[in-house]
Amino acid sequence: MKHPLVWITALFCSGIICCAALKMPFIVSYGLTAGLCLAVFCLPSRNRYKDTLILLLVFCSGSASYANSRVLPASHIRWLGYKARDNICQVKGYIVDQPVFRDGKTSFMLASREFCLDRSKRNCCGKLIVNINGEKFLNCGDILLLSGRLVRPFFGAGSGPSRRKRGYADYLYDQGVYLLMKVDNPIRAIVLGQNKASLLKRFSFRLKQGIERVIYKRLSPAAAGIIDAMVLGEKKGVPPLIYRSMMKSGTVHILVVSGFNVGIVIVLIFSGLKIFRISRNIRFYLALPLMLVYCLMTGASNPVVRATIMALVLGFAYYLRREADIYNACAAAALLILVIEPRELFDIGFQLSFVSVIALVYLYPVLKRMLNMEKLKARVAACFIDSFLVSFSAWICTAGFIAYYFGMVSPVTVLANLVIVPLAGLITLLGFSLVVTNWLSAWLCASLVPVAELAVNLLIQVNFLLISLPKAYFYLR
Amino acid sequence: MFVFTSQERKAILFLLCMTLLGIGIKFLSKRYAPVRAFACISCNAGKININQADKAALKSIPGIGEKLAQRIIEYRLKKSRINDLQELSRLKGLNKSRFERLRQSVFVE
Repeated sequence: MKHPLVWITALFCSGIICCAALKMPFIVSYGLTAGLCLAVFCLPSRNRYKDTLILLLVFCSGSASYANSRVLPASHIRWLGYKARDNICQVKGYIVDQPVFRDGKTSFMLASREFCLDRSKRNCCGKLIVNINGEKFLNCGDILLLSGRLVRPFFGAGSGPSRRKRGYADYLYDQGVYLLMKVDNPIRAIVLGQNKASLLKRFSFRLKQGIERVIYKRLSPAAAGIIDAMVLGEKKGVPPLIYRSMMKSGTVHILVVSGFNVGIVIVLIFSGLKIFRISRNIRFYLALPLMLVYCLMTGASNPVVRATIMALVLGFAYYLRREADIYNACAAAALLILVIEPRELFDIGFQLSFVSVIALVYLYPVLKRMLNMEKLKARVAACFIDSFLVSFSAWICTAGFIAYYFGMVSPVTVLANLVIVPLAGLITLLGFSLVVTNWLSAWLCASLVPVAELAVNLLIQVNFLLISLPKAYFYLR
Repeated sequence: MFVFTSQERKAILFLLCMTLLGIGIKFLSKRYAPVRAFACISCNAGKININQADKAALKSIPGIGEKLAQRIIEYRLKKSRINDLQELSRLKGLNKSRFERLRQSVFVE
């Protein structure tokens, strides 16, 4: 078989979709899978149906894995939270991501450990999103005792121009979050200590804070917000007007950390280590933890995890001097994410990330072959058509998903990506250079600041110009 | 159409068995996870001590405004200390629902 992992991943995904559609109970899907597994082992190795049964087993494993992800333990905060209703309760747990202060609220995700209501305390598990009114200085890994109200997330199945089929509650459900906790006052969040298990995560977030300080110290707020989003995937500083305009032009993906950023980080690490004449093997060993740190720093979102796993697979191929297969690398990334959390298949970030990669590795070469690009002699024209095909293949594959989730079609995306993606690449490189030079030479860093400001301003102006074109984007009614 | 090599078949079967085993263990650990209930040592953590709270702390309680916070402080000064929260229910402007919210957010010590 040419790409075995691709077929296995496709079948695993089909199993998940089938289980979600049929709402299959865990016992049924697991029993079916276990039975099939026994049948595969009982068949002689040369039986012609053995391979088909193995593929069927992969399908059933996807189904069992999804059914298992829906099973919650009796001590889950979801069940305890329903008992609390509107009463104030106490939850003890530790912070699993970096707290963000936005719109007068400090928000973060908490892994709950203890729950207390009306003088009865019990152990619990499960994640919560906590919103504290006001600013409270907290860090990832802090153990907290919180007093507040537990509420169900707002369902809001969109209306108006952005007719989303899935609401905020569905999004949180896919993340394994069933409840929100509202804390009225920062004094009701008591820091009890630090969770030692998240040392690497804490280090990554400290590093992120350091980088953010450099970016915000050196640049104007709007430029800093955009560079922060491009380098670290942190969108809190992006002005809403610019964010909305990028959504309309279909270029909002540049504000998300993706394979492109991971690629830049890898190139920077490898070239940095090459300067010091470090051998190929040691370079590879040093790059691995640095890639993981970058993945954690950017919040380990689906596109970054996908890009990191793909880079690791391709890196191993390079290390072992074997031919790398991009299809198998992509499938391995998807499979690993889905085995850990099958509900990620329904996450829009996961879908768009993989669909765009498939478009670039499969559709783009097909289009190139159809147009006989090899015969084109003029270099500039070839380069332009090449870029157009890349942008077009990504747009054609993602347009359906964007229309379904956001109720919007942006024909200008193809043109916008031709101009904005190279500019975004330059800005991302400038952002990384700004951080590195700030630690090496303040003079060099200061000389990069006006270039970065100019590039960001150019990006914003070009984006506004593109969405002002007639029929640049339209909503589906 | 689908033909695996012997090595591929072994690797896939090994991974599938491990996944299946992992799913089974995960399910059992969730199904039989113990729910331990124990007495609450301090249920006042995160609540406001009504005898020490300043105006800003009282105002942070939902339903308590500037005037009501001032009245509570004046009452506390007049009585030297509040011994029972029920005493506050007589205060002007503190209706039943507001009193209930106050009761959930403060403690007497």
